[in-house]
Amino acid sequence: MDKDSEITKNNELLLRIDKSIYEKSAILKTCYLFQDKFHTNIKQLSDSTYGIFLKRKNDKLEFGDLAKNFFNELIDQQIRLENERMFGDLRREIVKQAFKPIHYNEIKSKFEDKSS
Amino acid sequence: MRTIKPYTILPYRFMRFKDEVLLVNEAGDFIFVKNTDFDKFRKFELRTQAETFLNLKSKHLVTESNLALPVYQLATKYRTKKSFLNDFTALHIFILTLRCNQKCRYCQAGSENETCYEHDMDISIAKKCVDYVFKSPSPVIKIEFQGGEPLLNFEVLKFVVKYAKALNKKHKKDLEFVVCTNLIALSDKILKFLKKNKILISTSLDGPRNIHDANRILPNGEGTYEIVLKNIKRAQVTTGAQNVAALMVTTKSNFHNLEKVVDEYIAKGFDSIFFRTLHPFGRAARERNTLGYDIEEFVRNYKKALNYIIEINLSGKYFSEIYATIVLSRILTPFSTGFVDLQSPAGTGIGCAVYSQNGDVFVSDEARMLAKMGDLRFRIGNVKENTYKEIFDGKTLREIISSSCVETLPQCSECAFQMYCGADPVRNYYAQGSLIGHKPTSEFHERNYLIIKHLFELIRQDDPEIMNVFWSWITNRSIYDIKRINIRELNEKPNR
Repeated sequence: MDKDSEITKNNELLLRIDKSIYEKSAILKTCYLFQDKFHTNIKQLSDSTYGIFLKRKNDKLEFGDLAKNFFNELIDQQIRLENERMFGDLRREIVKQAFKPIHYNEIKSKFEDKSS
Repeated sequence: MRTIKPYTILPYRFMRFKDEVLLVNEAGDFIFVKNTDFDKFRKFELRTQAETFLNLKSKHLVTESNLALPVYQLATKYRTKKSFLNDFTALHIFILTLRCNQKCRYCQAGSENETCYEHDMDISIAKKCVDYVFKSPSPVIKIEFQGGEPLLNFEVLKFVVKYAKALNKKHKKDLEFVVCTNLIALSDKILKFLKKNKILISTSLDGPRNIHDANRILPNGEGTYEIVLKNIKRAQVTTGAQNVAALMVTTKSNFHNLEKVVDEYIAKGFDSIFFRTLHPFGRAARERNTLGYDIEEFVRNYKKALNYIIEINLSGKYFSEIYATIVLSRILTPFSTGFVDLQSPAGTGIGCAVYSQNGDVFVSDEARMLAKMGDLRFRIGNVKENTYKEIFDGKTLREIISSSCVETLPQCSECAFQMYCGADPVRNYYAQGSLIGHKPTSEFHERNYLIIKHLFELIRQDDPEIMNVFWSWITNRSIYDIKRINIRELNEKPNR
């Protein structure tokens, strides 16, 4: 185990997350994904570090590559947050346009012409 | 100093596949790119003449021009993909009776004994239900008869068909009928009526005799395989094989033998199968220890069986798996494929409505099963007590629908499979206590995620033979037809 992660005396995997790199939202989303197999606790270890404590729901589970997988997922979640900032408005605009009545006034006037 | 970016990245979601990344745009167009190219793409370091860039551009993931055009194009595609929402409720399920002449071990329908006539829908309720069906703005109306065993209340079935047809002379909708029956009570008189009125037959066949009879039994414990097979044959001969379909339920009995189930379906003249998982309702829930299984294990067997089906197709015989076909249609075509069990927003109430024998209206069959277990959370009204508007524009349905948009749900909102997937608020509520559910521990989510991922793995291999099979399923053509189309396209290419 490197300094970013360690097994605690309580047999939990402790992951140290640098707050200057990862946002709280990305950390929460990553923790959510691991809730199927782990109980999760997040603590502020210092001004610059969050501590994630992962406790196995089933003792037979191995920690194995959990730290690597967690950090990889955390990077992807951070990318998703940055993407949302980059094009979230565009995404909402696409959906808004998709559900907007198309040429409503044109259609309306066309039918009004016919009925008159 | 501010640097000028060479291109604008359009909205996308992504998922990693070993050395490649799947990118999906807002309308469901997708592409696989190498990990290294993904990093360059994100950092605006892709050369705009590079092949990867041009591919991304053609998939509406980047643009070098003004944003108006790609936004308009993506909005148009998005609208097409979501066009199943245009018409409101098309599928109307009538629970003609709760009585049943079988006692299946996994029954989820809350059936009653064959002699309990008080559980039948009467004519006055049936009439009211049909009146409400025709208030739906949908130009397509499918009335599906379920139970219990719907043929046990055949007189009301006849009334509904005749009355709906009479009303339709005025409404002129595309009207279709389906009866979901175990076929035990099929008589010549019934068969003649089904044929005359072009009523499709959907029956149940779990596999060969030993598998089918393990769970689908009569009240006295005897198996039903023999009589079901005999009546499937009669129905196929009388109404045409294309008008008879069968469904199966995966249990521990057939779980490790799905290939044998496929063989049985082919031998009995069917050209498709739907590997349906066990519902967590009714008797199925009580018998979970003896019938149930782990979803990961189900998916392992599903993949094996799917490979087996692909091989059958490659040998020249058309045979499809329905769930895979629906998902592949969503992935590989720009078209809308409404499937009430897997769409966003969910099909509950807006795609499908269930009219119970006493006039209660539910958002899905599962919702009715839940009510049978004492929870009326998803009862949206009663045809005797409420107006159409109260039922279909009420607070309950609005709340259910607004909680079932995967675009806003935890984990789903960022998932690359979002455009191909959906939500099931009723199952979430029952299994996990909330309409939204908890994705990391949801079996529904796990099954869909693992199967969609497997289909993408197969697409990623880009094996022309497998892709031919997929296209034959999507277009409902033989693999020979697909190959002929491919050859014709190749020959025509130089002239374009």
